[in-house]
Amino acid sequence: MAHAHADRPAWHQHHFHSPLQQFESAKLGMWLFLAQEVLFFSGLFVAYGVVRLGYPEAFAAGAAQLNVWMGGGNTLVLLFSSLTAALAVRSAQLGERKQTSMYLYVTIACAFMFMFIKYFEYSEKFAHGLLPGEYWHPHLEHATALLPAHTHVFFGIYFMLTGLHGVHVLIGIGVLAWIAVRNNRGEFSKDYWTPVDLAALYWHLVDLVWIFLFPLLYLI
Amino acid sequence: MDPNFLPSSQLPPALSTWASGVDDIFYFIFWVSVVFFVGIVGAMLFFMVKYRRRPGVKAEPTGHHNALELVWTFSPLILLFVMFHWGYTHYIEGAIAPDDAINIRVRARQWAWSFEHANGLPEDGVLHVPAGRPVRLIMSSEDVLHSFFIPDFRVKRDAVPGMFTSLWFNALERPDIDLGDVSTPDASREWYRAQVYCTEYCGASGSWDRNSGHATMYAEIVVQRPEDYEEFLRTPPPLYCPDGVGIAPDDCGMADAGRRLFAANQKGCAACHQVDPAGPSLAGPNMHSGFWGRSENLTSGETVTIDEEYVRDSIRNPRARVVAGYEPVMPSIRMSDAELDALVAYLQTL
Amino acid sequence: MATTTAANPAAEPHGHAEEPSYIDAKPGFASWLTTLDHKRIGVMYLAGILTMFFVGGIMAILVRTELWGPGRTIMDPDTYNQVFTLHGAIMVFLFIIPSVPAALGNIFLPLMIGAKDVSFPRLNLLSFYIYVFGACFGVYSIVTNAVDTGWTFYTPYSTRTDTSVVTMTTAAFILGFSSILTGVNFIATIHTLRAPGLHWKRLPLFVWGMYATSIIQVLATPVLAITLFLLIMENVLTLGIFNPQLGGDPVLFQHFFWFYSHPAVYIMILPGMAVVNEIIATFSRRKIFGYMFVAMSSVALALIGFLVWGHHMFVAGMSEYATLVFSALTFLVAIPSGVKVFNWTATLYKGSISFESPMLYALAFLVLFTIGGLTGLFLGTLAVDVHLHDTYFVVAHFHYVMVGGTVFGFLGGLHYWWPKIFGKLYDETLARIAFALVFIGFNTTFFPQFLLGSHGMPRRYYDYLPHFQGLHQVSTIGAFTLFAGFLLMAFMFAQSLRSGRRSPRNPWGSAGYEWQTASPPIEHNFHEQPVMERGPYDYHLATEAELFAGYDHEPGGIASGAVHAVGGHAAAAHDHEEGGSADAKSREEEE
Repeated sequence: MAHAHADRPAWHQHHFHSPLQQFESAKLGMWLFLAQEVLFFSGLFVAYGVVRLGYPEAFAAGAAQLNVWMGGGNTLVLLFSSLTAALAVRSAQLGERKQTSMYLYVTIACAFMFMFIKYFEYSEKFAHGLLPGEYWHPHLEHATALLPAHTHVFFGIYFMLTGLHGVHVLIGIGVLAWIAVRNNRGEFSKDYWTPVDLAALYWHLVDLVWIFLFPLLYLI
Repeated sequence: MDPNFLPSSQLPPALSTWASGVDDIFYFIFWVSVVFFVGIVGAMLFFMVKYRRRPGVKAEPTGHHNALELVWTFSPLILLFVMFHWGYTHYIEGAIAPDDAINIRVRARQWAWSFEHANGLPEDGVLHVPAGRPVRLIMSSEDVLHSFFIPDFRVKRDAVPGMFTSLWFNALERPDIDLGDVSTPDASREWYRAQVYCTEYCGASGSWDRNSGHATMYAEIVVQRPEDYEEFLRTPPPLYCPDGVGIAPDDCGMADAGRRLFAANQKGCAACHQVDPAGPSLAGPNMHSGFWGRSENLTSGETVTIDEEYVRDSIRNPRARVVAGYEPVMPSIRMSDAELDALVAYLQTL
Repeated sequence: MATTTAANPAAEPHGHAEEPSYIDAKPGFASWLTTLDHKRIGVMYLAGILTMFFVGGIMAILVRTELWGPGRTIMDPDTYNQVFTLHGAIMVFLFIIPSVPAALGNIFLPLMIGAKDVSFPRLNLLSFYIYVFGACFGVYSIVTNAVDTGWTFYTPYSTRTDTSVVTMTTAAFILGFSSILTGVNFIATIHTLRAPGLHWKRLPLFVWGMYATSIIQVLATPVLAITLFLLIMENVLTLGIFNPQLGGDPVLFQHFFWFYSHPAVYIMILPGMAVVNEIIATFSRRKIFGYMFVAMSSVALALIGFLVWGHHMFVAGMSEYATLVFSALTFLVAIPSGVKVFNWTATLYKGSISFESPMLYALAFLVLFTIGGLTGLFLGTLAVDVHLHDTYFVVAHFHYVMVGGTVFGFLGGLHYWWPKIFGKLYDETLARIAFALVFIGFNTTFFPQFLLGSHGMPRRYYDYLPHFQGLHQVSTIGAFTLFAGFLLMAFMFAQSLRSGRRSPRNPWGSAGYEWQTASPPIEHNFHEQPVMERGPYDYHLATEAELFAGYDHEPGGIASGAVHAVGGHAAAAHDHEEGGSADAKSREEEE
């Protein structure tokens, strides 16, 4: 694997003849990966659109059951974490190892915060029986009317979208933690901070998906 | 050897007013394809021979031929546009039924077709239609996707659960078939038949016993002269006939009617219930070897004796009292009280 | 004199110690399992996909045997439904999609662009292990009540059947990642690792094909992933988006499924076409006619291919407006394929053509893909598709393009590049006999199916009415012939590995870049960075040494096997080659 040569640092892989070539390759690869992630989620967004067109009243009723404050809070948390991720890249570019670590830790902490708030949101849904398909058994304390017939379909879409997004947040925690470990080992420098950049790119995508998800599910 | 071992044509006879239009387009595409195929393969073979490798003869470097490229990129568009346009316009004709079409309701289920005429008359597995008049089928499915396909009429449409789809056809009158004396309308006189297939995969039912689900979900269109069809609607053939009118004399008791209804493409019982002691077990409990009076355990834990009450209730409410060890998959099958009586009479002969 | 300063051919060592090939470089089984060498990874993929091809082929033989006569022949309907589903799922996900890109593409893409490896070698190894993991998951699904829905998993049947839909779709989901990561790797490689002098208009057409394929892999496969994921959740959590009893729409599943699966068929055919480019150029000793048109048609297929998915659903309950749009776009997507066929045929004109086994497969591809493509016109035409949809006509059409097209392309590539990958020759006579059996067997199997379909025989039928039996029996005989051809081919390749003659560096006398390295190549492909001063098809610019390296290039060369020094003579003067700048010394470090 990576080992130093007399004329090239450890991170400079054999098949690239210049660090710039390696960096551009890595960056392109990451953007391609993000492109496919966008397509992955867009399938779900299309499903959302189609089902919403079919059952507008169910969507309105379902959305009303969601906690806008928790969702909004999560939005702020993620936005802030994107900032700290970008700052982590900046610090890495400047070769500031301690600062990079700090920003990475804050980003990871925000991610945990997101999952924590999500845990409360989901618990509430489970407690009220607002679950998809055959598991739908709503029992709301303050409901004044029955929920429309297909509201369980809204919750199916809701759990799929937020659930898959949550899985990506968890993966992001793992990726960022691994980058933090590598940073602490001194693997990054002014000349080589590509992995930090790529991890931050992934994190920005995770944030971006939520930026679309939040208004579509919670606000409209 | 069977004279039909290999077909002598590409398409079956065109038996609806829309079908010959389809065939015209089909053959147009076919001959265009033949021309292109012969042209391309002919050129290939010619070049392969003429430019085969010979000592001392070198290949000539490829040059620019943009004009040629553009010609053969864009000129096929003309032919393709013709195909597209012709196909689309004829398709639209086939998608929109004429205003005077008679409506027939089609219900697909695993694995049989049932029909209902406009006056409420039901049919199973066989559909009588008048020749020379447009017929619109309004279709739905009770479980999974099916598809109603009549090759001779060139029509096909999926039957989708949760929505209605429709197709229409106008069966041709066939003067080439001599029906003899047609002065009095006869409800049972058939002019000709057209085969119906299910053409969207819909599963199977277990062991092979002359029935295998999707592949044997047949039906038949019985085309009649319009007067005979009107007569059929007014006086459909009786389910069973003590006086032997209209059905083979040996075959007209109530139990005989029940036996006919039991078949796979009628009420569909035979698809899942085995009545032959030598046959393989199917998806539902067997109905031979001491079926009546048998004691069965139910999934609910209760025990029941197979009697007429249990049998009638199980047909009307199939998932209420399911025998232990079997899945609750039996569908509710529409049938009249007379049909239910006939089935029970048949089962009592087992 | 324009030459490539490529790695020294095996015949002329100069200064470097005789370096072992990539096969001998690091010995031991473990070194293969942890390799980062794209060639070794490609060989491992090759072993995997050939195994899966055999398993899928057995399924096909079982299907055709059952269809010898109406009624029960060798198995029950439930089993039959599982067998045809497995044939489709294994062939599509475990064989055809990875076949050319992951096996041949991995080995040859870096060689053809003068690179030492792909951009992300570790990701490449990971892609392979994901493939293996997905395959194991698939096998697990097969032995635990194998799925019987057809490889298309249509709802509601796939949410009602109690067969292992969840595990099989999970396997396909996993395999999708292998496909995506390969695509990411290839695009990055082609963009950033091209050798100096290798500008886009000089890329071998195989590389253009891999590029277009990779675009589709990256953009389309995630949609399959989400579709399968939703199907799994529909089964496990009863979501209710496809199941009408819970308020869902079964046709929505079809839209989702075909949005991936139509581009997927371009993932399958583009690599086959990519290989055919190389073979026809080499065996006609001529640059492919209309190079830029062929390159751009690959990209056009990739892009337009995303717009036509609805043509699988003309009778499924879509609106007439939708059918209009999809039919029109489907005719549009026919054009790039036609352009390629015309260009390949024109390449033969004034070429110098020889007919060794790889060329036989490439020429057969032309014929069979033409038939497959033309029969697609019937299916794209709305009124005619109403009659032909979901009949054996469709089965025949897609087997002509996928087997007559992609598989023949793959086999041609396997024969063509076998000496480069393994450094051994195979028995050409056996290869030709196997080709004959495969060609005749294939046509005998599938041509009658056009007639079965136009006469109304539906697909996925365990049983059939007696008047269809004749055509079914012809088809079954063809299947066994095809199978025999493959067995003979397997024997021939095994014999080559065990006791085949050592291959010269460039047995076909190709001007292609990959032939300028040793056969088999050294681990790092080249001793020094090559600079491409001519195009890969510039036979008039290549030197005798590059093409023949002391090997007899007379007609029947490889069969005659004589090896002797060839008197050098100056290459013929070129005249009007575009971009064929013999003097171009483009030494830019990066593109």
